[in-house]
Amino acid sequence: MIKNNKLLLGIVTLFIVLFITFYFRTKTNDARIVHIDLDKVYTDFTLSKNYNQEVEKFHQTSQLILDSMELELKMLTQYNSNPSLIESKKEVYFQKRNDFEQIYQQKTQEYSKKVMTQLHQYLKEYGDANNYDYILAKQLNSPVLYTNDSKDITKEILVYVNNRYSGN
Amino acid sequence: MSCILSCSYDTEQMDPLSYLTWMTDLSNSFKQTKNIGDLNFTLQYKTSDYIIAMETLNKHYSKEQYTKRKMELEGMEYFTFTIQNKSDHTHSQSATEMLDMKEYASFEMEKDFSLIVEKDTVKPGLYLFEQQSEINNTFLFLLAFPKQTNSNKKITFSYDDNLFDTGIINYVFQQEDLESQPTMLYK
Repeated sequence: MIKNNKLLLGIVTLFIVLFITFYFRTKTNDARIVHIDLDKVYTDFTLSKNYNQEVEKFHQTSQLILDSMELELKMLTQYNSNPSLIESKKEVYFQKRNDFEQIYQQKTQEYSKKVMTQLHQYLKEYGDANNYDYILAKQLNSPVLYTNDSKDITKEILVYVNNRYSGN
Repeated sequence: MSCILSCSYDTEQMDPLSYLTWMTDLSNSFKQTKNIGDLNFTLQYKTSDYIIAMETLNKHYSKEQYTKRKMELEGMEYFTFTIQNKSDHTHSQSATEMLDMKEYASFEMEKDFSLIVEKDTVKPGLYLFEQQSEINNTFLFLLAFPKQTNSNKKITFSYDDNLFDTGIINYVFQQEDLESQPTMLYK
């Protein structure tokens, strides 16, 4: 009698395990998974391009200011001006260079955060609208090692995010 | 068929209440909303008739008063802009943070708004941070931009969000949408 019960329990357990395995395999196969080249989407996103232009403009302006300060320092050194004046000018130059570097870093971080915030929102909207379960990011150092090109929706995503950004 | 519909739509006349309902209907493009994370950004484009319709909810204007008020409102494009923070942890923002945000909204935020009409970028002629509702965490702004000669062309309202750091948010009002609005019938 006990032997029979054990056999029955074993069969039931096996059946449950098989059922769970089959269920999750089916579920995984049903999942709608696509992928994007996140680096490309980030670079070609209009907001990102606008911010890049701003950062580049800031970089150019600050470089012009630093160049002119550097030139002044060279002139002072060349004409053997007062050493204490040269020292103080040098100090101002290095301070300014540090300030510019800090602002540059701050701007880059701030803009990157803003771009990613908007991208996440638009990707979520796109995923919801198209019933995707996952949108994977294919990029260097990402854990995704292989993706089938037919599942690449980078182009579609780019059109969508740029449209949403421009107010359409 | 579509021509018949659009033609009849162009000439549609509405009483003030119906006009307001039409203008605030999200499907008619004069009110647009965008969600970024927990934030909701809503923009209402307000025609002079919209403003008058709102005002006449509480008081009546004679025909002369209506004409005079309409003339006063000419020359500007009016908008109401709201930012609602739907996040649960907003209430945990410190009083100092909230004070800083209100101060920014009151005195510095005007520069973050612009209106693009074709290739011209216009800054607000009127700007007012009206309120910050503690109950539903909503910031409300009233804005007006000088009307451009090429009005009724495509308009882009642009807001660079530095209050919550979400970046530039654009709203587009297409020429055909601006031209398709009904006429308010005022008696």
